[in-house]
Amino acid sequence: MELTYRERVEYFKKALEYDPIESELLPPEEAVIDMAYFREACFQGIPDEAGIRSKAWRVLLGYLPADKRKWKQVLSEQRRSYYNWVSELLNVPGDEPPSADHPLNSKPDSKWAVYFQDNAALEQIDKDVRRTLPDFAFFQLPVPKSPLNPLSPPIEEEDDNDEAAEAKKEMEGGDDQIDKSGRLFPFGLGRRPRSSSTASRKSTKSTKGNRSRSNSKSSVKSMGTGVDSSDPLTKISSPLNMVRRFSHALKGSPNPQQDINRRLDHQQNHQKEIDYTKYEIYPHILNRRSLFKRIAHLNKDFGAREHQDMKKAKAKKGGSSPIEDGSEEHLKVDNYKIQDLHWEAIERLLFIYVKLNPGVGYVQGMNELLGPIYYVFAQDSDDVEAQAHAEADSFFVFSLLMSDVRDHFTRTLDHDANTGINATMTRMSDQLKRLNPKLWRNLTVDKEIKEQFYAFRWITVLYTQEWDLPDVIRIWDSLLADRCMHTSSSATASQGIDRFQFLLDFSVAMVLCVTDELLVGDFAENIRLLQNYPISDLQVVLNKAYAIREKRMKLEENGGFMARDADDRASITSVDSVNRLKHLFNSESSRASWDRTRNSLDDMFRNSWVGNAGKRGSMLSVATTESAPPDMTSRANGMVRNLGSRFSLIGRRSANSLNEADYPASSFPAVKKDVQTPRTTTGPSKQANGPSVFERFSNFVANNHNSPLNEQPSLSTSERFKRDVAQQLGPNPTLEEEAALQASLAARTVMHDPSRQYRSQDQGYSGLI
Amino acid sequence: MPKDILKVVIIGDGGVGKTCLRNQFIHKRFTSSYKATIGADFITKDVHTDDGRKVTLQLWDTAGQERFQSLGVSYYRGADACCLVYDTTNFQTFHNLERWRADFLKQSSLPPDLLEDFPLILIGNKIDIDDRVVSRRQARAWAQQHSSPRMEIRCFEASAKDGTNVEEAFSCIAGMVKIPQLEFDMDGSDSFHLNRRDDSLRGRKSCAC
Repeated sequence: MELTYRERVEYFKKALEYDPIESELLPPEEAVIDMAYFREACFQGIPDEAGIRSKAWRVLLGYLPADKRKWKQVLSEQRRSYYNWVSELLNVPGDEPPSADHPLNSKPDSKWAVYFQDNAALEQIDKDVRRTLPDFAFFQLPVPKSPLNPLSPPIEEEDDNDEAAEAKKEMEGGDDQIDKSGRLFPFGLGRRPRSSSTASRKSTKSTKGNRSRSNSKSSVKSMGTGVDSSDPLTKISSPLNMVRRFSHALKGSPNPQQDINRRLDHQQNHQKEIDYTKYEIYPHILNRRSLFKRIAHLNKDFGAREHQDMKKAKAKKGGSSPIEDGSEEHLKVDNYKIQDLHWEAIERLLFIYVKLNPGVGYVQGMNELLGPIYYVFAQDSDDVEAQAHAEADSFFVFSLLMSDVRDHFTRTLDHDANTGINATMTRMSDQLKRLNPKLWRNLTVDKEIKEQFYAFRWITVLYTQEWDLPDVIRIWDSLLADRCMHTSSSATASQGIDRFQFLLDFSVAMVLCVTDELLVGDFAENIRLLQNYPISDLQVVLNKAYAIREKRMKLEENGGFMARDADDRASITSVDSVNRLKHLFNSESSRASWDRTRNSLDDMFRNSWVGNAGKRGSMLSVATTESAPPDMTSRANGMVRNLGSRFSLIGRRSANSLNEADYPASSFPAVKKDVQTPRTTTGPSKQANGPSVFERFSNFVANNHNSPLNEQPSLSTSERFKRDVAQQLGPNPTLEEEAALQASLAARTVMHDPSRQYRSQDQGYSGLI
Repeated sequence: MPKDILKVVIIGDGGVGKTCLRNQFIHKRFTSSYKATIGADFITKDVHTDDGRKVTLQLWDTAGQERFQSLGVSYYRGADACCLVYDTTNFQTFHNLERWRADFLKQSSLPPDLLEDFPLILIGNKIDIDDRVVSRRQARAWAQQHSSPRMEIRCFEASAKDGTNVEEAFSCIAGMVKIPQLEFDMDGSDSFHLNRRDDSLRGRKSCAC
């Protein structure tokens, strides 16, 4: 798609144009976004124009459907759920009428026990979230007040412009950090190597009229306070002024429902400025800050330095600071009047996420993932409503993103062969090996530089720590657009991290862009280089990544991963392979053990296609040179990966063990069908070897109690599996723990079987296994 | 002049200040706003030991959260020394040292007979904050308990903020590590040398035991 920047902006504007009322009436051809085209457009980078990216990301991650007529309903339902969670999950036990429950109650289901457990998670979140993008002032600023945001404090008359002015003064004045980062702010304009952006941006910006308030993204002042007082026009139309009028009605009104009605009444009188009636209003959540109260005592010892600073700041300001500190008297004040800071919104959001996803819990780095999302949403100055609900929408978009990458955050999957962070890094390493075997050998063999040493962080936090925020946002455009882009074309729908192929492309591109430096440097120099990535021009790396992606997609069309693997193998003699296996088997590290399962499984598949049971010794070369049709093998590999990830996802989704009711065999029709194919092509010799691994695996998934492995003399897979689960779980495992463990064990247990087959069939390999 | 490379792993609970200590040592700077470490950060610094050797310290500053511990194996392997860090104002971080030590030794792939003598040092950070909950005595007792006849765990109380004892702690590692374990016993001069250093440190702010 060869469009000018202007045309691209126009395309995005039109595609994403949304009005809660008018959009419902659109004809289908205008209401439904052509996702394939849309993804392609996003992949090339989403324009920085106000309001575009924020909507585009919501759509890319599936929070908003392609059909704009459904947006209003989706948004309303989801936001309502989030606000309900906030008001319910933030409840403090002591706030309720006294019950039999007591803080010293030791039962694990005691409300207090849960409360203390939550506090531990909250403490951890708090530590990290305070440090979210520390060199960036945005997160230290207050969330702009909005009548649409139920997490915004009810605004009182005197708050209004005085406070805004004061906050502004504060910002411009003494505080060094904010001042410094203020200069960092206008990143959207100059930093990007896209030359046309600055000019066209200016021309399209001024046409908004008084519908929006300040559109200026680069003004830190207007961000912080919601008012750009230098512009009389925006002053009149700013929601803050609107709110000021509502607030008369709000005063002394204890009933939230009444509140809303009166607020709405008032809004109708002021429709000329901003038509708030078309937006949904949610009741204020009075306990929205209770979680900060819970951990206020911690802030004394954790950031004591910070704590002292805050006290000072507060003293200077005469107590009007929006920053809540830990001091006792402060807590007694009704703290729902306090304005949240942006990082506090992130903290609350993460806490809700952890409460709702206890199996995943909070893992360091989640805050880094949330940073760009929240920033993009909260900065959306085009849509008053979307900006007001930035926190709620970020929550859902973050949850959707996490559902794809959470395997990277799950400890039990660390050594899983198919999913989890190590598996992803291995795939990255494989890709590097294919693209530049010389560099790969130099790094991994000669210098023993493991991907964990550099790519772990890249992949876990999706480059948020390697690149500046504007660059991260640009990378994410491509990353999120590429996600699911090819699901329709591939035989098996990809799951989880498999969707993020571009993640690997980009990681490999980052390595390849510094090939020369890497080849001449030693271990320490290489690690230093990769951990402090030297290239600051994102476009260089992006172009490389695009090229890699092209290549990969072409290869996939021609037969996929295994075809390439086969090429690699063909160059290695079988003696090498044996040595490699030996090396892996001798090593005691768990990394090796999953490498082994991976390798043996791969080999097993290749082998079973060839169906050459008697010629195990030459199986690698046989498999690679002639017999295995590339598309077949590629499918095999894809399936292994897929089954694994699908299985683990299912395992985690379901709390009850994997029984048939939950996973009817019919949910794997594609798998079953594929399983049959190789067997028919390989002929009857395969039958003698018992069911294929695929079949066993899928049978196992579908029907846990009726494993075909029962014929084997030792424990059947399912029995071993159950035993392992029972052994590894304590007496009172949480459902999620149990499920996650089952998933990882299942993957391992099943993977072991092919190696057993080796033993029985080929004496040459028995020593190795 | 022979150049030695020492791999030193820094471990301890999240938020105790591992990254800050490391930065104070390398850059002589302190910022309270470091991001959480994901995985492990790598940095090197050349130091000169008292006996004139030039040693390159390869510092592996690891993530503190428990979740990352299962990945420790790739960072721990081949380590020459380990630096256990706790927060003097947070007892839990001190309590968890036990687990950190056990976990490190388990994952470091050391031969069992060397585990006991593996060079460790203990750093209690944040002594600039007058809110201490872990006493020097407790730290010393812990070190004593886990020392072996051939390897004495030295403990320091440091401040990454003002730099107190940071240099001392890290050069202590440089000094203690590359002396092969046997020399500790057999070569009197070397061990005497170390002890003398201890005395001089004890005279100052450290709590060398």
